[in-house]
Amino acid sequence: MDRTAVRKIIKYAAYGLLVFLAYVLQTTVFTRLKIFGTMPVLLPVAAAVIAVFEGGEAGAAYGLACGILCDLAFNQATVAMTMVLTVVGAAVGILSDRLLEKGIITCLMCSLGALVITAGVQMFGLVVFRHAGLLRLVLTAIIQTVYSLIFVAPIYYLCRAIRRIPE
Amino acid sequence: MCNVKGYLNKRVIVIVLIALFIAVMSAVTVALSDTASGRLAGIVNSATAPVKRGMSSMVDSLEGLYGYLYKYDRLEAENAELRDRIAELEEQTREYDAINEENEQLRTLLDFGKRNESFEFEEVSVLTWSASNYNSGFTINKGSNAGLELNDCIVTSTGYLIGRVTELNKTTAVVTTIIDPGTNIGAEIYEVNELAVAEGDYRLMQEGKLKLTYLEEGTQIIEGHTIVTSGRSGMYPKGLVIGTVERVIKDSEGLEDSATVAPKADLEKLSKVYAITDFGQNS
Repeated sequence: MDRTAVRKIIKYAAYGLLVFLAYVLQTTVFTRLKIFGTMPVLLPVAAAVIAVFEGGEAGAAYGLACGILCDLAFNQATVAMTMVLTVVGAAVGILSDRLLEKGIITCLMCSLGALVITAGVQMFGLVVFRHAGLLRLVLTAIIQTVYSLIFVAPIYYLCRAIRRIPE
Repeated sequence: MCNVKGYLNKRVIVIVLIALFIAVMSAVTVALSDTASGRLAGIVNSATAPVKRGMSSMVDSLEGLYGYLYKYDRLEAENAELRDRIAELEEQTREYDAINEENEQLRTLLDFGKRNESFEFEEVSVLTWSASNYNSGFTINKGSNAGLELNDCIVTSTGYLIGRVTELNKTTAVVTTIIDPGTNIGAEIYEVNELAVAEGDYRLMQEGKLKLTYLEEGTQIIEGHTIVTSGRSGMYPKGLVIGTVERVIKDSEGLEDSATVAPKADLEKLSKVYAITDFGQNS
């Protein structure tokens, strides 16, 4: 096995570890660190940032992993977030390959998009089936999104370090 | 318009199709088994349970350390205050008889041990809480291997209802609490023997409460009334305490329409809880 292949394996394993770490932190530490009664969601951010750095294929693959873990973290069937984050990962990755610079602003904007879609999906069932008040739901979504955006920077720098793993 | 094929290579399409396959399979599993998630969720939950357990213990330890380091002064002041209160409480021991009598009344209400001799309990620990801001639930450290079943009730040591098992794996289970917006429990107003429905409400969930609806016409409900399970659905045993009425909401004609119920169980401070694995023919 040549050095490039070894580097690739280490890099993708490191991304995998990052996704797993985001899942564990989201389900253990951040369920207790609420701001205005709201928790952050790290996995959509991880999916978006990895996709920015690694492009469409890896973006879709890690989006799939993040989606499955996100559904599990939310105590729900692996349906909604699994599909959404896979598509988000693929879309962000493809855009990043062709149009976007791999900077922190791009990561911030892509994470914002991923978080808004995540909140929309989370609210959907409550609005449609439970007729919950939209105002309260949107307020929670805004706090959740802003709180989660704080974590773009650390995830960005971790991903950048992983991407630069030397041969 | 750009060439879509140029943007989407084969591997991306395959991964999206895998996601679609997983989503469809999960949806089918959920529909067939009536669980909150699917088989894949069970496998991943079981696989990640040890890590979550470790992290939860670590967070608990860190919280303890934080408390020791940063709350020491406050605890010392509290300690002094508590000493004063001990003296005060010594005086209050004369009121013991009255308190004892009240306690007896509460025991009669709950009468948990006597009325529910047929109940079988399994002690379980809370592993992690749901990371969603839109539902209320937690994962416990035991599953079907410990004899738990889907829809088993989860209660505190005093018998206050916490929720029910909505997802069952071999070594873990997911519990949906009574304040979750998807909750519907056949309820009874203990003091007046009137039936109603206790249901979750998103706005109230954020305040840690739930709603009492479908009150029968002419129901005399007041603040402080105790809400218990009616046992009519067969899912919950009769007489488990859900909470107390905190606020009665009247309709335009001044009749009782619904009420806000504060759960008796302190959902913020759950650690060890109990699964009722069997409640026999209790009625």
